[in-house]
Order: sequence, then C-alpha cells, then structure tokens
Amino acid sequence: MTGKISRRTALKGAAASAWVAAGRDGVSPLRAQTAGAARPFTWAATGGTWGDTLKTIFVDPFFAAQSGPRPLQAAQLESVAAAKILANCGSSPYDVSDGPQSDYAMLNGASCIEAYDPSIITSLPDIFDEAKEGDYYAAFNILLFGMTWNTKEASKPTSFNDLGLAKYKGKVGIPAYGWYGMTWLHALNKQLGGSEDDITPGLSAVAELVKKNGAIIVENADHGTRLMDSGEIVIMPYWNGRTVRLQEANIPAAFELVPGTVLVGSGYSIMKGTPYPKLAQAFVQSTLDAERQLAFSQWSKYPPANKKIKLPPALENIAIPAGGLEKTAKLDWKKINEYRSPYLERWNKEVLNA
Amino acid sequence: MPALSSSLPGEAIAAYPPWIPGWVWLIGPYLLVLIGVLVLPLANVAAISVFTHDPRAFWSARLTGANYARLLDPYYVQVLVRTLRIGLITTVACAALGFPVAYWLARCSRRVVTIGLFLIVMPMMVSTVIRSFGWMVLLGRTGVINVASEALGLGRWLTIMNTEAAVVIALVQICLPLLVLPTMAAIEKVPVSLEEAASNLGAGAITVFRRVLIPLAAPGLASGALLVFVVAISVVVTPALMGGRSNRMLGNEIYDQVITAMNWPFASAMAIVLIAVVLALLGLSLAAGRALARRSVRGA
Repeated sequence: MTGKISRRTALKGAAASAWVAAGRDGVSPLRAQTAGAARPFTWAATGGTWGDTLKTIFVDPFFAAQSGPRPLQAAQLESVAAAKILANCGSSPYDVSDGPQSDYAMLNGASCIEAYDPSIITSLPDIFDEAKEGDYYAAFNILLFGMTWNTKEASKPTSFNDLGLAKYKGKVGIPAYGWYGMTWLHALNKQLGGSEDDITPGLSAVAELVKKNGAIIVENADHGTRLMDSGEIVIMPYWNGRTVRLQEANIPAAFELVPGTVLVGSGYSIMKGTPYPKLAQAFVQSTLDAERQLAFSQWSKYPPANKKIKLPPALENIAIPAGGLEKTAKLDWKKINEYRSPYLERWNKEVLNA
Repeated sequence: MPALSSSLPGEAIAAYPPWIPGWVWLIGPYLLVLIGVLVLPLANVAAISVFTHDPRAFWSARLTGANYARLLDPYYVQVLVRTLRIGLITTVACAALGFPVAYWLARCSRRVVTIGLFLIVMPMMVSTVIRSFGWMVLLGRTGVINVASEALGLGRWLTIMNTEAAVVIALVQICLPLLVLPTMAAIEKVPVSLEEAASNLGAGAITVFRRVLIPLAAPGLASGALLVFVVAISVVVTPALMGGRSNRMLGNEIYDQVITAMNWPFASAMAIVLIAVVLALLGLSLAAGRALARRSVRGA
C-alpha cells in the first residue's frame, strides 16, 4: 500500500458511484427526495391560463377553508410531471397531479399513486364512467379529441377517414406522437380493426395519409390553433373546447364527435407517499364538486365530468350530444403504455418518413 | 500585503493555508460544481444507457447493449447525420454572416457598438418558441411574405416551411449572437495598424482579411463556431416547429423517448452517442487546427 490512488482505482470508484447513482430497478438515490411533512401541499398541473384557472376555481377556495399546509403549484407539461412522478415513485415531489388518464394508468401500473378513499371521495358515482379509471382517477373535465374543421373550406366530417379526402391535400393536420398522436393512433387503429397489440392498420392508414395528403404534424394545441387561424390546415383531429375558443375568436371552425373520438379526462390523482393523504383525498373530492366543475367549464369550454350538472343555456354548445360518449374509443391504457416506445419508433419510421 | 503584489494570484492565495495549493482555491469551487452538476449526472446517464427498459419503472438493472445496438438502425443513423449536417450548415452560415458583423462592430465607434450589441443580444431575450412562431408567421404558406407576394400578383411561391432549410434559417437567427460576440472580442484585439501595415506592403483587402484578420481572430471565431455548433445540434423546439415531420433531429428523438415513450435507457444511449460524436469532432477540429498552425509556421 503506497497510499496513492491509481487512475484505474479512481475509474473503478467512479463507475461504482455511477452504478449506485443509477440505482437498481429505476430507484436512484440521487433523485431521492425527502418527503418531509413540512413542505407545502404541492399540486402539479400544466401552467399558463389552465393552471391559473385551476388555482382560482379549485385550489384557492379549497385551501381557504383549511388551516393546514399552504398550496404550491408545480407547473409543467403533464407528460413531464408524469415522468418525474415515475422517477420518484413513492416519494413524489407532488401530493396531487392533474393530467389525462393514460398517464395515471401507467403510474398506477408502477404503483406510484394512491387509491381514492370512497369514504372521503363521495362524489365518484356522479362522474361519467368514461371519465374514471380504476379506483385512482376521476376527471373534472371531459376533453374530446375528435374532428375540427374549417366550416368555410371543408365539409362536416363523418369519420377520421375524411382526413384522407383528396380535396384536403396539403391542408390536413395530424397530432405529433408526443402530443396526443399516440392516443389518437390507437383510437384510429381500433376503428380500422386493429388492437393495442396490433398497431399496423392504424400506422398504415396514417402513413398513407401523410404520403398522399401531405399531412402536417401538429406539435401542440397552440400550434394547432395557429395553423387553423392561418388557414394552413382546414381539418384535423383536435379538441372540442379549443374549437369553441376558435369560434370565439371568429375563426370559422366546428367540432364533430366522430366514431372513435378520444375521451381524455383532466383530473387529479394522489401520489403514493404524500405526507398529506387525507388532505389530498379531500382536495380530489372538491374537484368533483358540481358547482366548481361548472365554473371551470365556463372558462375551459370543455364539458364537466359530473353527470348531475345541467349546463346553462350559454354553455349548451359545449354539451356532449346524446349517445356521444358511446362513440368514443374504448382503449386499454395498460397495454398502450407497454407499447409506448416500440410504437413511437414505428411511428417515426413509417409515418414521419412516409 | 506584499505577498499579493509580488506573486501570481495562485501563489498569493496559497499563503493563507499554506498546505493547500493555490490552484485548488482558484478552480476548486468550480470543479466541485462541475462534478456535482455535470460529471455525476453524466455518469448516471451512462449507467442508465446500459440498463434494460422496463415500461413500469423506466429500467431494470439487467445490463444490455441493446440500446446502443438499436442506434445502428439506419433510421437513427440518418437522424444523427441530419443533426450533424444541420449543425455544420448553421455554423458555416453563422460564420459567413457573423464575421463581417463582428468586424464592423469591432472597428466602429463606442456609441454604435452599444446600439449594435443591443440589437445583437436583444433577440436572445425572447424564447426560441416565440421566435419559431415568428418565423412561421413570416415564412408560412399564408405568412406575411406569401400574402404580400399574392397581393402583388406573384402568387404564393414560398414553400420553405417544414423543410431543413427552414430549420437552418431559424437556427442561424438564434445562434448568430453566439458567434458574433466572441469573434468581435477577438477582432478588437487585432491592432488596426497591422491591417494598415499589410495594406501599405501591397496586400489587397481580401489578402488582409485572409492572411491577417482570419488567423489572428481565429481563436474567437473558433470559440463562437463551437458554441453555435453545440447549440445547433442540441435543439428540440426549432426543428419540431420549423422542420415538419421529416426533419427531426436527435434532440427530438431523445425528448420523445424521455417524455412520451418513457424509455430512459434508450434516450440515455442516444445522449451518450451524441456527446461522444461531438467530443470526437472537437478532437478532430483541434488536431486539424494544430496541423494548420504548424503548416503556417513552416510556411512563414
């Protein structure tokens, strides 16, 4: 023993440190977080006006009546929050998180979220079945990803197949896989006879659409709004609420709930390991309250998930038509989540390179 | 404090606890930061890149080379080549456009420099998303240029959106300040008298530029080019918004694998390969620079 550290020993030490840092089975000490009870009640949601309105309608009134911890918003994309929750499974930096059921089905599969307590969350029976997932997710708003079209330059669509009409060549939009393309692909695939295990019919149809009609990839909701506003796109799979916003901006747009329309909820799930489990349950219950959901719908233009709510005349245009929910795609999120990576690769190769 | 006035900074600081070398005080804090926020996370990424993807927990600790083998797929090779090509074209374009601007700024009055620097730096205060939307407003099929052209009876001829060229245009605008600023600093150090002496000895403007200015400003130009290249190959938003479906860069692939597919091992492998390629290219350019310097010394 000379007491000196050789280069080889140093490299071995660095490699061992990296191994420990990377952790076993996706649990890294480097990303460990102290789930101390002294922290504020952290609610994750997308930012911007969506986050601001959640705060005004749900968060502030709820915490005004509480004497415990104060709320703190963690604003980021829902998919980013989901990645962080998965990376910190069991010691999430958030107590509750808002997002679509697809992400929470994945997080539930990884045992990262807490089940709802029906003794506290008593409004669950009031929520549309399509807006719930297992015993861990219930939406407060229903977002429908159907067909939006320019009423001056396109005609009312009857199915997603209308995207392939020759008259729309070069003026068709499809969602990016990383936005809601993955979900829409599965919905379309099912309409074409495919299943979560066999994505080929859907992928072939989208590739054909891109090849023949020069479909433009829509990266996010704002991108879609801009493309509709500028007239670069006259028809695309898009949101019901966003279409109402387009109409309010005097853009000639309309929404159609075509067969296979994707129903995406916006709702809160409770993170496993939260130091405030009861408070989190009570908060989720407050998001299912009819009055608050209606208030949020008045701003968002998405219909509420509470089926007891009767929409006022001013909001009749956002109501889900009779039988509408039956037309939405029935998707197995657990299977979809298992295929996220291989189907992304196929999408990139077969659709984007078409 | 006589020690401070008569010694090099490192030696002066060494006088305080004499058993700790001066250089430790000078670069130690930064080294600690570097280890904490760069080396360890990078080692973490490298380790994850050889783990097996598990849709339920990002990865399991079974070692595999599959993530790297997957990158040999022609699709990913094509994406990597495209990424490097866009980075290279952007760097060359920034150098071509930025060098004259840097020269002009380095030689003009203080007042003009202030205004010029403000104009150069100001766009950096606007997010790349907003800047990309700005380009879309300008270059889109129904953008300002096409609408104006149509009003003049020339039709909508501009179809550059959703092409590699559109990505390069946006990147050049984003990266130009990164080249102008260090190049300008380097040119400022070149005495005007050298240019005048070369001219008096019969050198034309191009010769002065090629034989005097470029070699003396080369360190600044190289630093700027390096910054531009590194930023250009690692962008995500610009190619997504400007490049359309078939002009994806490696940054887009990494982002999608991290956020959408949740396949962190594969994303880590892509990141490691990108870093390795950049380091290899840097090594090559350094070696080429040394070779050129040796040749010019021999030539002189």
